Amino acid sequence: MDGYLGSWSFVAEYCLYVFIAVIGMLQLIAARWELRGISFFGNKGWGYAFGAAAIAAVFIWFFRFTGLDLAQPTFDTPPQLFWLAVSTFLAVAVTLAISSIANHKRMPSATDDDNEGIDTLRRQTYWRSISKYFKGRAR
Amino acid sequence: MISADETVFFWINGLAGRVAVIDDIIRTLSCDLFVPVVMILAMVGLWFVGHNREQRENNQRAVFCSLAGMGFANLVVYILNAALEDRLRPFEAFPAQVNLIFYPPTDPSFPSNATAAAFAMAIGVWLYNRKLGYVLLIPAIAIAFGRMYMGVHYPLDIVGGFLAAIVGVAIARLVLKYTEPVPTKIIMLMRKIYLA
Repeated sequence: MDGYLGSWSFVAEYCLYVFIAVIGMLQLIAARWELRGISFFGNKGWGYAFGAAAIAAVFIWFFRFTGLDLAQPTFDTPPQLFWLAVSTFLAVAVTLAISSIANHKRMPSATDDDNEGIDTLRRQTYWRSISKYFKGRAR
Repeated sequence: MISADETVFFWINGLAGRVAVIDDIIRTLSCDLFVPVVMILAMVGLWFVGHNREQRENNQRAVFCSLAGMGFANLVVYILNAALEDRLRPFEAFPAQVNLIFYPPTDPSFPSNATAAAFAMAIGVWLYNRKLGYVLLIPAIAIAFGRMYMGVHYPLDIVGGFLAAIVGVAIARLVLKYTEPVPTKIIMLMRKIYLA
């Protein structure tokens, strides 16, 4: 990984940029579509504020404060797509983990066993949903 | 045709280098590090939203079509690059006259790969979700205009990239159609684990 934009520090900054932006996007979605199970907050307003602020801040940080010089070559397409995908999946996983912890007490376990996909996350956390799914399979 | 292409190019590229802030904004909006992230945010959003299950499933198919379309559009560009004689970039053909305000890419000028990828993603979404599709055409148009403004592509390269995007998305649609029920099974599997 030689050269300015092929350096590991650039890869780390790029991954952080994508990671925070995707987390912000997921919080906006959680607020707008009332997916309380993936929200970090009990209040929709905080979700909107956090999501918008995270996306705006990370774009400004990446393009203005990382010393990025767009007159220099950027990633080749394959490594860029690789790090983009890795950061995106990691952001989804971290969102599911943090929201499950944050909502553990706020959202009591739902009594019904219906699996309605993402809609289930309107009334329970991801951790509770997936645990129930695996318990059901083990039975 | 080539002469008209160069005339339009010089008209657009002649706008560069006058106002530093505008150069900066266009360079940022049309660089490889901005549009793909905007597109991926749109894909994440599209995957999770919908007023009901049917609408969400339609959006998830749009994500498949968009990503596959981008892949096939890149493949079309790769094949064209291999089959056609390399067209020099404007800054290589006219080093003294072009305002180059971007890094100098080393691949052939025709067709524009970045344009093909951005339009393929936008068109892939547009086929399933008109409203978001039109919104995603904005960054695609920004990247197309920006590449000429910055001195790295001629207008015909952009048109070539756009056509490659259409071909790429058409192939993606056919592949998704003929690989059914695989896309549906993937959505069902993701739904089982509460991710679709």
